[in-house]
Amino acid sequence: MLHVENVSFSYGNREILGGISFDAKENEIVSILGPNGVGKTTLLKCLCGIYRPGAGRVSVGGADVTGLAGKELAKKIGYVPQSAPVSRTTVYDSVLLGRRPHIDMMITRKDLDIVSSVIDALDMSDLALRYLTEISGGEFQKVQIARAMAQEPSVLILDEPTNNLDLSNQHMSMHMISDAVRSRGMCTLMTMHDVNLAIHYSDRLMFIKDGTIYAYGGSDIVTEDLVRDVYGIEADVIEHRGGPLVVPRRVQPGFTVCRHDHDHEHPHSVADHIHGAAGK
Amino acid sequence: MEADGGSDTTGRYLEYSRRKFLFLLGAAAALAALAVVSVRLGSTDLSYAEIIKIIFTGNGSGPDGWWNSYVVWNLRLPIIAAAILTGAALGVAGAVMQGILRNPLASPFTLGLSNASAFGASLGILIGTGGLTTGWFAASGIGSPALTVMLAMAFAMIATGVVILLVKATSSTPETVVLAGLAISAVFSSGLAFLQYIANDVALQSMVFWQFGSLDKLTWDNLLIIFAVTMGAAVYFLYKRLDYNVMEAGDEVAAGLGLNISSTRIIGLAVSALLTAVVVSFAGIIGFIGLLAPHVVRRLIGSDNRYLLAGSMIVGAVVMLAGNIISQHAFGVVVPIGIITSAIGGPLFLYILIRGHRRAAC
Repeated sequence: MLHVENVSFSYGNREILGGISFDAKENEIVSILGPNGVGKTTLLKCLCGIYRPGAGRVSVGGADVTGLAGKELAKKIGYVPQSAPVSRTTVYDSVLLGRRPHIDMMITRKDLDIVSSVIDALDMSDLALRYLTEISGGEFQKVQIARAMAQEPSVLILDEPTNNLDLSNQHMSMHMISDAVRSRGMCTLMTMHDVNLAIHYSDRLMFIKDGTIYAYGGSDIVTEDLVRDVYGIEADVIEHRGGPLVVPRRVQPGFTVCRHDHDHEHPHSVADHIHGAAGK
Repeated sequence: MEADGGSDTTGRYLEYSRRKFLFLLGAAAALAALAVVSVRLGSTDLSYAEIIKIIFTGNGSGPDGWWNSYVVWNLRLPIIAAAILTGAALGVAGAVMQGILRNPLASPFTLGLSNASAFGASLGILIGTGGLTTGWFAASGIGSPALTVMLAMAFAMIATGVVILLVKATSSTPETVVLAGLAISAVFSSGLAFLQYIANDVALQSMVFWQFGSLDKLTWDNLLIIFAVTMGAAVYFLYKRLDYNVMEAGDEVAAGLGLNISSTRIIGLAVSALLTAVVVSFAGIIGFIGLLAPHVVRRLIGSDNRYLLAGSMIVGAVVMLAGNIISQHAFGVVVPIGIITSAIGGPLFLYILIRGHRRAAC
């Protein structure tokens, strides 16, 4: 379904992604993990055309989409950013925006019926005519995902879909994403910070380190060595209900935190890579 | 089951959309009613039958027929048309700017257009009237009202050009545009103060009066230009209405939906600035219509540009026409309409600020 070949990206002279290659199948959920600033969001933005990769090729369903014009690409790849402004727009109108790549001049009855079916499938029909300013954070996140679904893409890309959600809403959102994308046979890529949540809901995990893929595969790739190499912390990886569970060890006093240079999207976030030297 | 639910949701949405359309019809009816009332207001008492006859035949009846015809065609209809056109133009320009900049306080004036055009007009007045106390221009006496209009428009477009260049150089974030507008505004404000400082009394008086904003000075020829530019801009804005909806969802969402954000924002900005520049250069500074009209429509029917743009045009025209009635008839003397719109718009601006602050605090 999605074929990514040797994609690289630089901000000026600073290389963020250095030759990323992978495949993802339809009806599959792939979580992209790694510390802040390693290029996870940059990779997503390269795939959905917000950034133009310096080199490499991306194809969807066998068709090369590298350098495809905006709307044509948007018909194939849907993108849900980490955050979006809340405007005085109804839930229905917000989901209707997802039809924009398919609309030339006039919104048709077919567009409305697609939007309605997505809204109903996500159990939001009661909210349909409410303004975004009147719904909760979890519901707003649902609207963002619904909009991408109304886009009817083959590939759905989500940037930290559980960002800013409480524990219950994190699981509800992930359940909803999982059900919705599987029922539509989409290939889904999402960046995640919570390794255990990603293990629970993903078919495959991709760990990024220094702009390249460190490991890509099923949950069996998650080991104590991997956590140490990718995140720079010590953790126990224990067996829990048939899958791995990552339990970080308590960080000892004296650990140092340094910032990654290439955290371009979030220059002021704490892009921390904990060095274990002091704890050894 | 899903199909049934889908059609029910679609049905509710269509009903909701019909209500928004009815709002537009109601606002248009209110505008028409206000225009009908306006045409009878004035010291010359004319019946509707007489007014209709004059409109369709061009001549009034009786010995005062020529005068009545003059009153209708040269005094009343131009000012009604001017109020409708300027209100519609400023309303839609404000709606577009607030949408593409995602800033409820953005309006053509936030870009510094008013101060830039005031500077241009003042320069035109200074040159045209020979309004310098000393020097070459004082002796030359060159220029005309056309010079004032042209310079007002030219400087408004220069201000817009500078803002757009800054936007392009800084990746066109909405915050940059508003801040750049404030900076441009300050520069032209300083230039305006300098021109007023060196002007003689006659020129200074003209400069101050121009800044009040008034519809009295607009001729049919001026109105034809405003009409053509307003219609051209409105057609463009309506063509881009779905893209403006996408812009309100944020830059990343818009990019993900395949929109070229930079060109949509810059062209939208340039067209709304041109529209404002044309209005301001002929009518002077009429503040806050671009802020007030879209705000009212957003409160009542939401931000969907399919209805918001037309709604802002109609409500802008209604507010201007109502403001015109107040300015012409409420005080015994004619008060420039810019003073009336600013008196209404200033408190509204504060209200939006406070409301935005409260929402942010929640």
